[in-house]
Amino acid sequence: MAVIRGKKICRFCENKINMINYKDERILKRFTNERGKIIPRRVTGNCAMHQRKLTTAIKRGRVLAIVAFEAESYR
Amino acid sequence: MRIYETTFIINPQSDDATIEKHVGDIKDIITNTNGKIINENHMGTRRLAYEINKLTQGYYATFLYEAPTEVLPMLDRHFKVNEAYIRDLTVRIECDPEDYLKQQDPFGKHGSERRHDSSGPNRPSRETASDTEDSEKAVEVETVPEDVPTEKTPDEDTQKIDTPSEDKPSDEEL
Repeated sequence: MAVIRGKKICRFCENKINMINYKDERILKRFTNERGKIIPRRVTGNCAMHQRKLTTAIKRGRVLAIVAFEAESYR
Repeated sequence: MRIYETTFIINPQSDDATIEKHVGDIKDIITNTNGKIINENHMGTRRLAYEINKLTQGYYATFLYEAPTEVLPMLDRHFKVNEAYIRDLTVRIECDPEDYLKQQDPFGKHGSERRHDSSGPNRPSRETASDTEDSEKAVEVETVPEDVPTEKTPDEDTQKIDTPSEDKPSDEEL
């Protein structure tokens, strides 16, 4: 079942966000799945530059316990 | 002189005066080595995403400052020696500090406000959280331009399809 969608636009480019705040839980959570994994840009539609920045932001957020390294419990 | 941002977490079990003192100590170290504090932000007590030293909450504070490189080893030593500091992270800021603050402020405030709302003992699961977020989004669209409700839905669909297939193999292992 193929779903045809329009081209995804990077949400950070759209809103002209150059720096991603690693202390902002909302942004970091939006781009990680339930298990705490970073969602690939093929799913979110981020551009390469922002995905790179987002990745460092999420990793910094993990150090500061703002987002988890791993889901607390699953199944 | 370079611009740095240091964020640290203090054990919240001690009283307010001692927490203030710990924050002040960091400030003193920066200013005593000819550093200049550009911005100070106390995010307050927040729930930690995972337990650190059996603690579930932590007091967050952030300094944005301009200082010579010698400050970093001094801060490092201070964080290591004193057990009240649970975590610390120093990041070099390569752009203009004014721009940096402008970019983070609106979202930063929203983040900490939301944190307090959901700081109950049992954290809501991801799916219920996203449901409530959706309803709030409609109201917040103007203040937080980042979420476009129409775009959000297809993304979530793909997420839900992706994750079960990832989870299955690990379940079988156990």
